[in-house]
Amino acid sequence: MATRPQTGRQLSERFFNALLRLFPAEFREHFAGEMRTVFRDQEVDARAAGGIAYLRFCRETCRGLVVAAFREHREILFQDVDYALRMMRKDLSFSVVVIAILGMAIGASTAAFMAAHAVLIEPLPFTGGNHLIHLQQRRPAIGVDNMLFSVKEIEDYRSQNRTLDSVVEFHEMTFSLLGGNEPERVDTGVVSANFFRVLGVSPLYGRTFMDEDDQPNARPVLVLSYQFWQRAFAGDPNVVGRKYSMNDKEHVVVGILPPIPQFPSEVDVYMPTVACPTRSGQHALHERSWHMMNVFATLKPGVTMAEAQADLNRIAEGLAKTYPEEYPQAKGYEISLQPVHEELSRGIRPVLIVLAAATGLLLLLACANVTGIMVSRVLTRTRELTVRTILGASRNRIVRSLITEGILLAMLGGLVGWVLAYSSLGLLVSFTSRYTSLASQLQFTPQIGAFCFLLSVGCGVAIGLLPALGVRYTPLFTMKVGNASLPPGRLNSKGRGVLIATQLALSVILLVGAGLALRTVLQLERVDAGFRPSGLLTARIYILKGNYREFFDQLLERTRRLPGVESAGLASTIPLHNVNADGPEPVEVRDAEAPVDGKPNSPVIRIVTPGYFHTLGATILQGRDFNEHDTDAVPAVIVNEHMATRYWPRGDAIGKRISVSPGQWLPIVGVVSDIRHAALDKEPVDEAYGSFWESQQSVMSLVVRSSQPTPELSQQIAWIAHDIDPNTVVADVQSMAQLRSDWLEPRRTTAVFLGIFALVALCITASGISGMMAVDVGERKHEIGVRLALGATPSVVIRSMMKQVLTVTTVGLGAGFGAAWAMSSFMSSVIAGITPRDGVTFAASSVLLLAVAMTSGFVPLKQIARLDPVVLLKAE
Amino acid sequence: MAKKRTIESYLPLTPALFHVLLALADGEKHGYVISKEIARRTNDEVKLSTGTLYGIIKRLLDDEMIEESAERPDFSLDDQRRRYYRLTKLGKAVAEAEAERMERVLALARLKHVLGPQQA
Repeated sequence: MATRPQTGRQLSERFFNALLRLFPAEFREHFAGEMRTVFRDQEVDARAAGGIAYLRFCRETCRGLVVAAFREHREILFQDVDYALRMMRKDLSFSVVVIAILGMAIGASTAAFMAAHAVLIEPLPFTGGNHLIHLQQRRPAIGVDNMLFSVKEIEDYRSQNRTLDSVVEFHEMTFSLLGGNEPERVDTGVVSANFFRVLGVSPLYGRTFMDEDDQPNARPVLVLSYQFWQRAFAGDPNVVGRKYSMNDKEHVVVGILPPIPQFPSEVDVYMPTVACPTRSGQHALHERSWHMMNVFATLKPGVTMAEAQADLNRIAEGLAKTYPEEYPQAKGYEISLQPVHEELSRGIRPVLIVLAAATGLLLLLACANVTGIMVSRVLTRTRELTVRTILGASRNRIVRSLITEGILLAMLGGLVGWVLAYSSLGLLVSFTSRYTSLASQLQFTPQIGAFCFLLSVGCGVAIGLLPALGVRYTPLFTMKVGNASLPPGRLNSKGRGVLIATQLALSVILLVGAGLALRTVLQLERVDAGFRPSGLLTARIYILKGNYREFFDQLLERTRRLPGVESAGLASTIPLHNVNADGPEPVEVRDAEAPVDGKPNSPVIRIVTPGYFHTLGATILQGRDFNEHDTDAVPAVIVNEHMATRYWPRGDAIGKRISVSPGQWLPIVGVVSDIRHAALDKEPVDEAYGSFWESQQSVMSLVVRSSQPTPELSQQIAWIAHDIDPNTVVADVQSMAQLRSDWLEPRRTTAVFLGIFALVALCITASGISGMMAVDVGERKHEIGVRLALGATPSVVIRSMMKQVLTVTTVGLGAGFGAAWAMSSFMSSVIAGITPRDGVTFAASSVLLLAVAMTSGFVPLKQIARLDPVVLLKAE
Repeated sequence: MAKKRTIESYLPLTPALFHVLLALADGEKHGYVISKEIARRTNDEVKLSTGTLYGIIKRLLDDEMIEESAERPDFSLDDQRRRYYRLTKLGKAVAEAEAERMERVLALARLKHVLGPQQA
């Protein structure tokens, strides 16, 4: 019994001591002992007063200690901030340089985070979006990764699955919308009635689709996308309820979507599946091979992706067994699942990773540089720090005040960065929108502000802590009175050399990265894509009904007669035009040697008219172009050089035959030079061209080679097309040069971004080296003066000091190249088309950095060596 | 160097701080006695915890309103762990100024009949 109160007192005293640690060290040093004594006395009184009084005493003591400790820290903070501000005002040029360097780096990092946050982290703006998965059918044996679904397949997966909650479909069509000022070609998303419910999208005005809208004979309805509503109806909400004609039927607008990123693609209007004439046609409804729909689903609660995958595999295997003709073993048949969020960000993910890495490196570089500057500054403030120590400031107190100064500088840098990041918002949106519809989510949210703030604080601690810890706090009695330089401790020239070598290494990585991206763009600019873009105009022509051949015959004939037009042709798809109209088709090949690479026989089939190759600037290498005699009665085919070389390496492709559909063998009448249709950085693939007169289509791309300016020619072509058929839609009119430039633009922008980062890095590093040498010279003034006085020439002094720069540069470049070597493989793995370990880039980067390092190291030396040794010695 | 502050610039004082100055008005005391006296004189209405008391003592020392006393009590009564504090001239002047300020406020309150007339 006797020991209990004592144990209680020990406990309370231990707790009191723990709370005392909340106070600043200096406060504790002065008052802790006395406070313990008072606490003991007060505790005795409180115990004597009884239970409740004792509890009240404990509460008040705890509260009092916490509040008082907070006040003490706050007071010190105010003092340090006040002191730091005075120091910053005193050395304004230093403060401006540090704030500018940190501002740029923090701004770039914040902007990169803003893009990454919106695209990779932020959930999709529709509530159901984050649980949405995309179903993809694959035919692995012939290299088809995303085979669309037929209605029959959708019905099978919908009815046989055990793991999916909702299965919805989407396909895109282009229809003419009549009833406005003029016929308008609208991209239409044809969707299941519950599509918007599954996505969790609520309309801005009106309603979305209901189950009744998707019943046979339902009244056709439309929902408008926000962008189309703004563009075509100037945001007039009264458009809801209006009637428009589409596919010869009256459609009522029932709703308008909010401004959200559209998935799977940006369209103008939406309609339910029953309203789509193609989707409701007999072929689509009953033929299993009529693949045209994208399918999305949500998982049942508690179901994992792996379970759903296993479930769908079971259905796929069943289908392959039940319909062996539709799913032949030779082509293979699989189904896979992909989260929609991942799919939306897939295109930009590698670019963002590279940008984030680059901005991260830039930030590290800026911190290393500013730390170097802070170190130099601490050395020049030796006398002031000494006085503070003499006046009783402890080491912790000085470290703390230097960190506060660092944080304050970084916060001001962060403010500059915040402004830079905010101003780059428009640029970022336009950049990311080239890759993903999630770009519209980009905005300066509180999370971005918090990121910018935390980054600034982190940078501040880093740049303040290192110089503060590096100062050696030697016994003050050993110091000479009036000596301006404190023994530098860990802040000696070796330590500063490490900081400079770090900056050089980081600069190398950035420079090599930018160089690789730039070289890739330059190579792509010069790549022979198999066509001549200059003077080439392209347009997509849609006709609704009538005689396609007659229409396109007339269009070509009248276009060719236009002034300045050299030639014209039509193709189902043209190079670099993002239309997935043509895909790989399995073919049979006769009289051919087996391809050496063993790849599947699945060339891309394109439909063209006579004159198309000539207009594009491609060359017929063997045989002939199509002519008016190549009709469905006398069919023929032209193959590209890639395919001809693969199957007939001896150059005897002409006259050989291939079969696209069973029983129909088409003779090869020509071999055309390779054209990079898909992308400039994609090697040519097997391509086979059929004549338009054999397989007429309602949608074709027109290419015209002309000396006329694009706007005039576009107008004339549109006038001809509407003159032949007023309901024709002429869309995507642009020059091939523009198309090529648009394709290159994101790559060019990435290279420019990296180039800017590398340039900034180079400037920062140059200033760092220059600063390091200036400080070194300042420290060694006496030694330089003595050497000059003893007869050493300035060039000898400079040479000996330049050795130091050379050593640091060599170490920095060596480390940087090692990292850049590894980084280049990473870059080529995330961004297609980048050539890793490009010798020219590495060599150019090393020469440039070496030149910059030596020049910036030389400048301060040159000035000092010119001085009179007497002046230098007097300076001591 | 910090600018010399006028006495008015310290006013008004917080009640706790004023009580500490008042506790020291009649002689030097150590921390425990200061807190005891304040509690006694205010009928336990103002009880200063250790943290609050020493936060105030530090501020008063920094502002030079109090100082540590070099004189120690008789050896047999002295506790070496304790420090004794006493008012400086500035501290005394500030306490007086605060008391006068409060008196003026009280006078105003009486004039406005917020308070009853002063008892004899």
